[in-house]
Amino acid sequence: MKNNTVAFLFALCPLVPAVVRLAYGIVLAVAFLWFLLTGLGIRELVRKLRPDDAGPYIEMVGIAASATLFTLALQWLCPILSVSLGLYVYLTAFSFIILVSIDYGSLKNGLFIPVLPFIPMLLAFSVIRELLGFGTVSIPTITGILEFTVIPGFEFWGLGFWGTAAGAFFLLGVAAWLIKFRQRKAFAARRQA
Amino acid sequence: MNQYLGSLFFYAFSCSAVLVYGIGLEKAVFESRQGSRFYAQFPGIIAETLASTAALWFLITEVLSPYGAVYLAPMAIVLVCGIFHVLVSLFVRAPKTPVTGERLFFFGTVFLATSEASSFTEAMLISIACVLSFYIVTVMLFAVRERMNASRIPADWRGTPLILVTMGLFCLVLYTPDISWWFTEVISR
Repeated sequence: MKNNTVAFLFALCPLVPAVVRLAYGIVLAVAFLWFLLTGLGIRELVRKLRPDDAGPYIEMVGIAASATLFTLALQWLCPILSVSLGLYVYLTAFSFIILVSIDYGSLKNGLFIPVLPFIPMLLAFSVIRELLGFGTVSIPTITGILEFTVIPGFEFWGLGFWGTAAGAFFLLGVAAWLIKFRQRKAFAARRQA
Repeated sequence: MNQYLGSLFFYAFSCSAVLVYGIGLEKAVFESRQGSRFYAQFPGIIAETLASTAALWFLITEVLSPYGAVYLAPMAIVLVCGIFHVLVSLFVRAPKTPVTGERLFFFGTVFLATSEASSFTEAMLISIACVLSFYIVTVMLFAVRERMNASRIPADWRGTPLILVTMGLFCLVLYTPDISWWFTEVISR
């Protein structure tokens, strides 16, 4: 992995339209954990089969199958949320693959470790967007989502722009700047010490 | 005809497959770097995308859907796209190492086209629109990088942070014709 920060930001990009609420973020975080578990199993299977060049394709078919299983489980547990999220569960699978192979190598060279720190980042991003875009915090339920108003009077002075894809890119840009700023400061402090 | 043109413009610009769905976004960012030959990949990408979408459209609508096995579509997409990717790479010079980002963009495009379209023509148009969207965003990001290199920007903003903010602006700009009074009222008359 060349740069974890860049990998995290770009893995988040396919999910920008979906993680507009914490409820969606929680479902997609569970999807990520599911892909991590099944991904480890599929990789072990591929390693034992030794299919050479066909390996990455077999692995991707396996991840597509696990995304389908997750979608079926979501339709059974939270039917309304499964309609709202639609094809974003499959885009989460793409995001997972980006995360484990952002170095532009094949999946053979990918690492699963970055998936775990990515999940809190996904949840934090969805909380910030929901607070800035709607003034609420939500959790998934069988009948859809349950909203809690955190910022009262949001409909009068709130800016829904932060809930849009454009707003999300601005937030990601600011997050990337903050991370870079912190890294530079830490590097300078280490050099002085 | 207008409906088909509308679909093409919708997925290429106002609801850009790259910016709104994030399909091929990381590839666009990497390919917009100096020295990239992304334009040389165009014949291969468009050929395999159209061929895979056509094959999968019939597989899904004529085989999987009548037998209630639509849930097998994602696996079928990866398999069929994989076969076409290998076939096309026999004729078009491919990179020595398999590129995950390229495959994901290809799978995502075909997946979006087959899941969002209501007819075969629309599926093909969505595929073309996705590829167009990728090339438009890549060229725009290439121009932004050129401008960034020639400008005095604070070190912390250089690179990824400014690219992400610029993509936010692209989202707004590409969506403008859909809501602009000038386009909806003046030009339509």
